[in-house]
Amino acid sequence: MAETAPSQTNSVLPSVLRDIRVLQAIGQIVFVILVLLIFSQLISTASTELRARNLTPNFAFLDLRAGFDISESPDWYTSNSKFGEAILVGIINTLRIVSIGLVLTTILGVLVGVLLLSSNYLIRTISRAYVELLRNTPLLVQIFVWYFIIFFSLPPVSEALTLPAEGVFFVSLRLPFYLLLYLFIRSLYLRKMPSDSPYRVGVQTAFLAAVVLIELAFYLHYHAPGWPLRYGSGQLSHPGFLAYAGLSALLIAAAWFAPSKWRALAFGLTIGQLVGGVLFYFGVIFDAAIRLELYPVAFLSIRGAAFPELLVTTRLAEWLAFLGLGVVLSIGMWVWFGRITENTGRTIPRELYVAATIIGFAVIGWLLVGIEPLPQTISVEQDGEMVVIPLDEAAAENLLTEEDLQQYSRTPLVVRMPEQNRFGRFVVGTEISPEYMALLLALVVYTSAFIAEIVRAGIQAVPHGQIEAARALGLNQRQLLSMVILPQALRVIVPPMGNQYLNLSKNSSLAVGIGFADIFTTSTTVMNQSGQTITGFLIVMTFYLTVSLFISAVMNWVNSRFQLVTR
Amino acid sequence: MTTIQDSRPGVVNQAYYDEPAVKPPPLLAVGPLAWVRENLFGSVMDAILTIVGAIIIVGVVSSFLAWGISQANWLAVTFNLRLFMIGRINDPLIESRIQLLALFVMFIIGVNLAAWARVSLRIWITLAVVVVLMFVLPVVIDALVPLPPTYLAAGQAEIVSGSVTETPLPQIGFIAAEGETITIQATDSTITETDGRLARIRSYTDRATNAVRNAAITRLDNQARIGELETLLAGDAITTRQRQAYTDELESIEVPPAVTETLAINQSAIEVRILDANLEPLLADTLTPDSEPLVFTVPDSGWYVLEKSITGSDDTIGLLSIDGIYPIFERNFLRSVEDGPPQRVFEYNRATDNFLVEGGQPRIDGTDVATISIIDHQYRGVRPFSDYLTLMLVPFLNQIKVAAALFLALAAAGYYAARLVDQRLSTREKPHQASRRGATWLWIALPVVAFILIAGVMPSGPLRFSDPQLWGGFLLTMMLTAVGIVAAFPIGVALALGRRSSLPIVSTFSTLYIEVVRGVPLVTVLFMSMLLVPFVLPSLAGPDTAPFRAMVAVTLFSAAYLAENVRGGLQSLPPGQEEAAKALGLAGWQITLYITLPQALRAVIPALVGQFISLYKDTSLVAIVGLIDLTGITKTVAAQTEFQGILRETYVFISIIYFIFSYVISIVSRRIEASGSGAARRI
Repeated sequence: MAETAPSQTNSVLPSVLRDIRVLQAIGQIVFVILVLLIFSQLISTASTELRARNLTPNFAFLDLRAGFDISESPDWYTSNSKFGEAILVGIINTLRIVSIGLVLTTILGVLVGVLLLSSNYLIRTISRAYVELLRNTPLLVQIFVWYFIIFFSLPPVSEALTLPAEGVFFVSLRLPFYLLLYLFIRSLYLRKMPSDSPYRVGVQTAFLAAVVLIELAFYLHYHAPGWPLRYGSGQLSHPGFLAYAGLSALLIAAAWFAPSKWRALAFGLTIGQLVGGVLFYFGVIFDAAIRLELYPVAFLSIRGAAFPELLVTTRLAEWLAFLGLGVVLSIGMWVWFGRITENTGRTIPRELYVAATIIGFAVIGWLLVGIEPLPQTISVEQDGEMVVIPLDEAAAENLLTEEDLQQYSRTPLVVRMPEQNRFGRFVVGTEISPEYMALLLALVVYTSAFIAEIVRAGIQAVPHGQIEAARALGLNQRQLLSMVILPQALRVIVPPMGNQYLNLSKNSSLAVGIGFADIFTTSTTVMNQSGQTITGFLIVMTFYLTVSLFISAVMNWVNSRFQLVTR
Repeated sequence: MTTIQDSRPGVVNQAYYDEPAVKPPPLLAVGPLAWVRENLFGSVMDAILTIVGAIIIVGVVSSFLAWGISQANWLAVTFNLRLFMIGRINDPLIESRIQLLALFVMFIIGVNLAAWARVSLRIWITLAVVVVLMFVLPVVIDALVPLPPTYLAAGQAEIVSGSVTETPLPQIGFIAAEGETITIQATDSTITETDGRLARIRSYTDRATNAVRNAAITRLDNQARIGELETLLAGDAITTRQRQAYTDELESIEVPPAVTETLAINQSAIEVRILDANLEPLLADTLTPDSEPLVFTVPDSGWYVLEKSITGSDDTIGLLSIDGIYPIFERNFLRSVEDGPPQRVFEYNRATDNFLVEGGQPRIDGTDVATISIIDHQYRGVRPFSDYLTLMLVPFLNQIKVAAALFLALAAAGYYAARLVDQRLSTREKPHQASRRGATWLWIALPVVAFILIAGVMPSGPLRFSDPQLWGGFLLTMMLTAVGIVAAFPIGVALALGRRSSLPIVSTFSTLYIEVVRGVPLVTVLFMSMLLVPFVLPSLAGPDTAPFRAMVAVTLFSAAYLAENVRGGLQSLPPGQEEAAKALGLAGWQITLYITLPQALRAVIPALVGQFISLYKDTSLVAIVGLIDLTGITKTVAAQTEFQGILRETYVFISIIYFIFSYVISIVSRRIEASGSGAARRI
């Protein structure tokens, strides 16, 4: 007791103040007071400044008229819309970029990640260079390069790059003929032979040689005006033909001396080409082609890209109902077949049945909804006046308006090709702005470099013994990938992947650098117009935090499904 | 062949062949061929991939080289290097202070390389060879490859090309250095005989010559297009719509008469005079394609005027080919001086060799004589490789060679100084102790030195204040990155400790801050800091404080990420460390300060390097809020009259700078991490 006494007598502080819980509480109170002091100081300075400018933060401004146009907005947005609606447009645009970007960057990243592990040195080096180059330069510079350099050097809309290029193509009718002939020969002779029998090799080679020679000869016939051996001339005494026949005979004779391993191949080649040459020279093989005029479907120019437009007609609902029936049915099948497999051990290719059911219902539904009769005639505007003409005629002359098409089409969906007016603007067709494409491409390509590294590391994290063990068990390549490598690799891949998805969603705010109307760009415009800076930033931050939370939540869920279940 | 006979029943006799002891392996099993087979053509799929990859590489590299050599205007980089490096700082004294700082940084890098890593002599020699090449190449190229002549037109003829009408200038001012010779001659028939030859003119030309050239090119192009259209229309391989379009086009194309017929080029003699800056005639001659060229040796460095005229009808022009007169960059800017208002300086810089003249542009009757400015005398035509060497590569190398040599020398000096210090002072057990201690002190000194040298501490004198508005380029990028790490460090550590604290309010506050900042993009924080900080801290309002506001944003942003890294380091510590410290009776703050933090910080150094790299790239975002960092400076360059709209060259250049820096840092940090030495050792 005597030894503990000094601690009591020496202590200046009352015992309450030496209690660790009390000390902690005091510490927290001091911290709160400090934080509050700093914040109140900052806020009071800010609010006096703001009040002097008559800009007290509030949310009432969201109901005021925006008064500015947004180049990339849905139809319902005009400059008469409200500030709140402008911000909504921005939110929609950001979600458009982020959702599509996440999918594309995952695909590209996984592909590059696999290529990083390729056994091919060149491919490995190219993908390594791709990753390093993209990882080590700022995203903003990449966005600028995509937008100001790549998209700005595209041609003007009148000389747009097109897909397919406009022009005429001749498709030779011989190609299906060759295919049929080969199938015929195969079913007649080759089917029963082992794949390495010399006869089979010889016939196949001969067939191929004949086809190649005939096509080459036709090419020369049409594209080399001075070519002496014309199609179907059949003159036996033509010196060119004699020389060709003589040379071929020599080659056939030479094939006799080929090593036994190559003999069938040599005979096939030499004899086949001679047969082809004779068929061509005597006009036995036919010469016919289909002339195809190709018109562009997609356009790419400095104003962006234009694609065919999908128009939803009134019959879509009926078709979707039909499709829904098929889906319900196939789910039932899936469950039922699964139960059979579980109970009896009999494997049923249920993927096949389910796919067949859904596709079958889709096709039959598509045809069924078209049965409903259409009116015979329709009143359309022609040369400035309303006339009543037959529906088929109106459709053929492209006189139907969008509403007419929706009302009077036999299919649930109508594909409309892009159409330009006199000034090169697209009146029909889905358009994508260059800003959207540049931002999307830059985000996708930049993030894919990081994802590629994650995927590479994930696959490399699977111990090699696992793969060897799987091979030893006799799993095939597909099973190896889907049952051994992927489940283990995904365990490593998923958590950092979530980080990259978060980065992509946040990086989409760099749209402001090229003026794409995402949430951030529209909000800054709104803030400039309304002066409501603090509220504006509050909205923007809330939005990004929500998106981040959503992505994190989804990735956590995915992650929990792949983690090792341990006891 | 030896045969071992075994006479026992039931035994099949086997033959054993005497194989030679060493048999050469098959050709495809060893050496480069085997490598190629194994790594490039292992299977059919592999071969296809190899071919596709090779086509991609060849396509990308060759198109980039073709553009870089024959089209790109690299002068936009060469003549703006200062802008790219330090922004718009216009005080020569502050500029040299920053050069000093750069050398100091190189020295520190050298010391650190010696302290934490190992640089083999081979790397030093390689770098030295590169630097020596920078000095040797310009001399060799200058000796071997002649500069292309400048083409100038003379006469009163109006040259029409498309919608443009040009008349040659009667006088033109140029700059030349003492002792140079200038050779002027009238071009002969190899240049002027046909339109085809005129169209192939490629060099620095004045606008009149360019109009002649363009007229010839348009005519030849139209002719070629007509032939093309006629062939297309004659065949049947076009669609109906194309047939209509081509027919319309064919009708609208006109072929003007040949340029050589409408203009009489070099048919009359050209009167040429050279005047000095005060317009006193020095030399005069009359030139025809057959006459001897006029040779003029420049007596003094400075301005001269070339006067050219022609006597003849209105459709006669003379075309001069001149060696020794080259286009100039004209710059005028405010240069701050120690006392008094800033002075306006006029600088004239020759495009081929950076020869510089200040002021003194010649005047006639009170108006400036037109000068041979690069705006009107651009390089026209597709540039051959020889012109790329002399006009693009040599000026660039001349600009950077001294800096490169100094940087390398300082880095090497730092490296070998540190090695020497280690040999003298370090013990055998800790061979790097002295240099590591020195390196740490240098790092601690660097921010102070950098601040003093960049911002200045006195109103006047050698350490006078610099204007933050003028900071830019690589300097600003590095400043933002460094501030973003250094200033964010204490905040980040405090937040990390706060988040792990047992006090609920503190940990909630820290968690909230970290998660909110990590959940929003940096652009938001930057804009907020630009727009809101002036309200909260009125002293940071105004355009001259924009860099500081950006620094505030970068610091607050970076602190959250840094906190997470430090927290990772704290979590990686085995709990035994803390328990042992408690058992020893250390107080809470002592445990944190002496036990956990030092170990945690050491463990997170690789993560900090990663954060440094990503922050270095992220600072480019300040370009969006109007600062002229390395990314923002490209807009400044594209706004210059000489380089109107040039973006590709500058983007390629800044990408290379960003890439080299971040790639080298990541490689070095990976090496240090892998070697497990010192700072980065894992716990």
